[in-house]
Parts: sequence; structure tokens; C-alpha cells
Amino acid sequence: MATARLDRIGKVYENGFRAVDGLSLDLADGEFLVLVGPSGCGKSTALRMIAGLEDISEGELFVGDRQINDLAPRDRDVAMVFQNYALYPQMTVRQNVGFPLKIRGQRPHERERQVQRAASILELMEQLGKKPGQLSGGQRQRVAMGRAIVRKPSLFLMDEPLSNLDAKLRVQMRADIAGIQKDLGVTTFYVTHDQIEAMTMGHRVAVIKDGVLQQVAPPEELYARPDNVFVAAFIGSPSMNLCEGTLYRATAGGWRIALGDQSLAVPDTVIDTRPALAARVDQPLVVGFRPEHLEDAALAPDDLLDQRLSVTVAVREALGAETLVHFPIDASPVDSGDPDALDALGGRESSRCTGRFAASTRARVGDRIEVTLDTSQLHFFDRQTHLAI
Amino acid sequence: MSKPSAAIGGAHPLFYPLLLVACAIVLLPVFWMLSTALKDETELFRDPLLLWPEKPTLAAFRSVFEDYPFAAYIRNSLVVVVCATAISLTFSTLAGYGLSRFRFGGRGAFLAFLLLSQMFPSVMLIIPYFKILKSAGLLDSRLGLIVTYVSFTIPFCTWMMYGYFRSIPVELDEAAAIDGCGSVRTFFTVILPLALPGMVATAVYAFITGWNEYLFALILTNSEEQKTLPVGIGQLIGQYRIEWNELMAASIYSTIPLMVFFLFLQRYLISSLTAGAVKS
Repeated sequence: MATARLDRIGKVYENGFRAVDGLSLDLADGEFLVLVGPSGCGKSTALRMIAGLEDISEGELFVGDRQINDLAPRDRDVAMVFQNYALYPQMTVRQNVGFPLKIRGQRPHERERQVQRAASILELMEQLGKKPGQLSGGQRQRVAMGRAIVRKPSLFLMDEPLSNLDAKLRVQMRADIAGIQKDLGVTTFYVTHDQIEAMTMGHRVAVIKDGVLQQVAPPEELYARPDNVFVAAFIGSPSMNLCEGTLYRATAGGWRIALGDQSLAVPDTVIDTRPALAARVDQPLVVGFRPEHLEDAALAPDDLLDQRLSVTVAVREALGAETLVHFPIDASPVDSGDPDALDALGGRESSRCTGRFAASTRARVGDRIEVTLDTSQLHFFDRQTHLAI
Repeated sequence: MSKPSAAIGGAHPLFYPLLLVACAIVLLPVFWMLSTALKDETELFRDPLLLWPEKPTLAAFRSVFEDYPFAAYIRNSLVVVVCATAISLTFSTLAGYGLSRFRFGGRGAFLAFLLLSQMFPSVMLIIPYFKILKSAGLLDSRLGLIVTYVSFTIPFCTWMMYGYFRSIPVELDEAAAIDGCGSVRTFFTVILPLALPGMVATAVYAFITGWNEYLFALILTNSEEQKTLPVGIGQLIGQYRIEWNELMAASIYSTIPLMVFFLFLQRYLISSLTAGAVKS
């Protein structure tokens, strides 16, 4: 049990490449922090520096009150769960789980007790005599976790532990891991590229891009108040729709937003709660709106009468509980900076947008329909800096 | 591995007969060796040649030991080759691990050098080796041969072990480091047991290379007490005549340790040892 602190941690390679740059994070005792970001953003490197598997080029790392930059991994009192499990194949499950205790000189009797305890938490009692080669992927992952929890370390480090499991198993293990962490109360760093894991498991989530921390906040806050375009686009699935738009005053009074050649009314509260926005009238901005704030106008014909887009349906995905509808709008697209994001639908002149419609929608591919957009839920970002306004 | 009968309908009807024919072709020289060794002198040159002696006799097997210091040859070969194999194996394993896990200046050059050194035809090296051993006082000695054979096998053995260690995931070292092991303990407790199949293959290679080596043993030894088996057998090819039956008997003797060695070790050649370590 311990607090952890990263103070401007950085990793620079010989060729000058900065994998991690000025990363500062403060973890409370027992906190579950998720480091999330696209592939290659430096999150695994950061985790490995905390573990001691990579040298720290810049900055300081603290566990409790101790600065541990120069300590070997075994002296740091951390336990790690690897993406590929890294189980010792020549040893049984019992020996794998008990290995850290054996190295530290614990007596066989006490070791066995701890192994039994870990095995019962992780439902591995039947597997204790087997070797890793005889286990399924999910079982191997649990053995890896058992090996980590048996030591009662100060920190848990988890490097994308669920990414090699199939989808259904992943959902179950997410809950299991979160539950175990809550019961044991061990401070945990969890690295993943899956933003759903980040949102469901973390007390706080740190979004990382190109080695730089973008925002760290509880999941709900990241979702509702992203600090910049990258976080806005990265968190949430399907992604937030982003395009260029211009805010202006209507001749009859009131505010409107122009998205391409379409214009929608904007409630006064939007401007009132964002003082900085008033100074940006008539300037092109980055505008974001989440798919769930779009709806098929045919399903709610009396709502949001002046907040409508006229669009042609390009793709339709029926998910059962809802229907995702993709359509281009005539506003300039915005590159969120996510290397894994797909190219814009319809080329460089229009933006690809996604709406989460109720399953009862009758919209079909090729239909020209009206879509309501709840403009009170708009997000605004500066076009140059991509920072939230 | 899938068996030929795993294909639709079962094995091709010619598969097993062809296999039998191939086995027969491969084993024919061995069979001939045995049948020749069991013949007495009158039956060796019979016309037409006998496939199997009418009066098989073990006389050749006995006279090999009586007429020559054959026991000494066997002893010398065993001592030299076992020692050379053990030394080669130890150092090539340690070097292979170091090369696969650590980065250091000159590593690439060293690896290239290991391979390039294999390109020298060994005949070129006889005179230099002779001179070096002579000035070190190691001519006509088992120690001299051990040193020589180690110099032959270590480069390739190191390459073999290097390649084998590369197939053992580095995550295992990392997990061991986090679990509390230092470098030495990681190597001996976690990695070495997984390297056993590679070590066996390397040992077999080193053993066979040393066991069959003729040229350098011939040049670097001259007293009967120091000669190795290949040299001893070579002496059976005399200037005027060849004692075929004794030659064949001696050859059979010399293959027995190899077979024993291989039979004993083949159960360690388990390639599936690392299954389940990491997600493949």
C-alpha cells in the first residue's frame, strides 16, 4: 500500500526520440489509474520505467516517500502482469504463483498458504498442479495475476493484460480485475489502448499522446469535459463527431452555428457558460458533438425544430439495441491526431459523422433525412491549438 | 506435425513401401559393415561376393583389441571429445545467453566474426596449429587435442545457443527480475531449464564433430598411447593390404558410443518445452 508519484518523467533514446516527455502523475494510496492512448504513445514505456525494466532518462519516480529511480526491479516492491503473461513454462501453476515468495526465502508452509489464498481469489484451485501449456488464455492470465497478488506489493503494474483475450472473456475479466483491486486496495497502474477498459475500470484515467499527458481526470469528466480535441475524439465509442464550424449572431437575435452550408440554433446557455466563446464569434472553430446527441428527426418530429441537419445516409449499422448511422456533412474535417482513427468518409471536403439513433429508426442507406442535433451539448475547441474553449 | 494419413482418405498407398525402400538404401552400408565384420579372411574376397557369411565369426572383433592398442584409442577419444564437448557447451551457453539478452559495443562484430571464422578451410590451419601446440608443449597430448577441438566447435555452438536463446522470450527474464531474481539467478533458475533442448542439440553437434575428427588428430599426435579412434581405425588401412573385417569391426565399435550418447539424450530434445510461456 503506497502512494506513487511521477515527477516529469521522460524517456529519450540515443537517436533523440522522446518516447515519454514530462509525465507527471500523483497516485493516492489504493487508487486505480489507467494510462490510455493509441499504439506507440509511450504508455508501455512509462509503465516499464516504473517497473525498473527501462532506465528513466529524466525526472523522478517516488513510491511512498522514497525516490526509486535507481533501484533494481526486485527492490522496488512492485508486481507486474504482462500482456503475454510471461509465465514460467517449466513450472506448475503452484510453483509459478509461489515463485516470488520462494525467491524471497519464505518457508514452504507459509508459501503454500499464500498460494492457496491467491488461487481461491482467482478461482485457480483446480489448476494448481498443471503447467501453463495446459491452460486456456483466461486461466493463464489469472495465474499471472496470482503471481502478482501473492506478494502484497506496494504497486501493481498491468501492461494491457486483457488485450490477448477474446471479447466476452475480456468483459468478465475487467470486472474481476477491478473487483480484486478494490478488495486488496493496492495502488495500481493499468496500461491499455482500449478506451472502454479505461472508462470502466479506472478511478482516474490519464490520456497520453506521443509521450505527452493530455488530460488526467475521472472517466465521467474526461467524457463530459475533454480538455482538447484528441481526448474528445479518443474517449467515447463511437467517437465524437468533429468538424469546423462558425458561431454567429442571427439577424433576429440569438446565436447560431454554421456547419458547412447548414445552420442550427444554439441556446444562449451555451455562450453564457463559456465566456471565452463570446470573443470567438465569426471565427472558424472546431466543433464537437457526440453521436448520442443526434437523433432521427422522424422519431421526434416536434423536438429541436431549429437544430436540424439535412443529410444523406451513407452507412447503417443495426446493433439491436440501437442503430448507428453514418453520414457526411459539408463542413471541413478535423484531424484529431489519433493515428488509429479512420480517414474521413467522403474525402477531404466533408466530415464523417456518426449518430446513435433509436433502433426504431427507418433511415436507410441513400435516404435523405433530417437529423436533430442537441446543440446545448456542443463542444468547442480552438482551431489552432485544439484546446477546449 | 501432421501424418500423411491425416490427409483425406488415408496415406498414399505407395507411402510406406517407398519409406521401406528408402530405409533399406540408407541401412545397406551399415548392414554390409556388419556382415563384413563377421566374415573370416577366406570369405572376404569370395567370388561371387557373399551377402552374409556362411560361417559368421567374432574373430575380427577380438583381434582388433589384441593386435592394436584399441582400448587406448577408445579411451583417448572419449576423454578428448567429452572434455571438449563439456567446455564448448559451457562457454557457448553462457555466451549465447549474453549475446541474446544484452547490448554492448562490438556485439555485432563479434557475431559476424563467429560466422566468418567458420569459413576457413581447416586444412589451411594445420601448420599454424601444429606450431602453436608445439611451442606450448601440447603436441601428442590429449590436452592439445581438447584445446584444438574446442576451438573448432565453440564458434558454431555459440551461434546455435544464441539462436536458441533468442527464441526464449525476454519477458521471462523481466518477470523473474520483478519477482526478485538477480541476473545470475534468472539465468540458472528460469532460463537455463528452458534451454536444455538447445543445449542437447549443441552437445550432440560438438560430440559428433570431435568424435569423427581425423586430420588434426593424425597430425597432432604420433604415439600410440595418444591416438584417437579415427586415427587408430585409419591405421587399419595398411600400405599393402587392408584388413577389411577388422576395419569394419573397429568402425562398429566406434559408432556404439555415438548411438548410446544420442539415445540417452534424445528425450531432452523436447521442442514443446516452452509452450504456454507466452501467447504465441
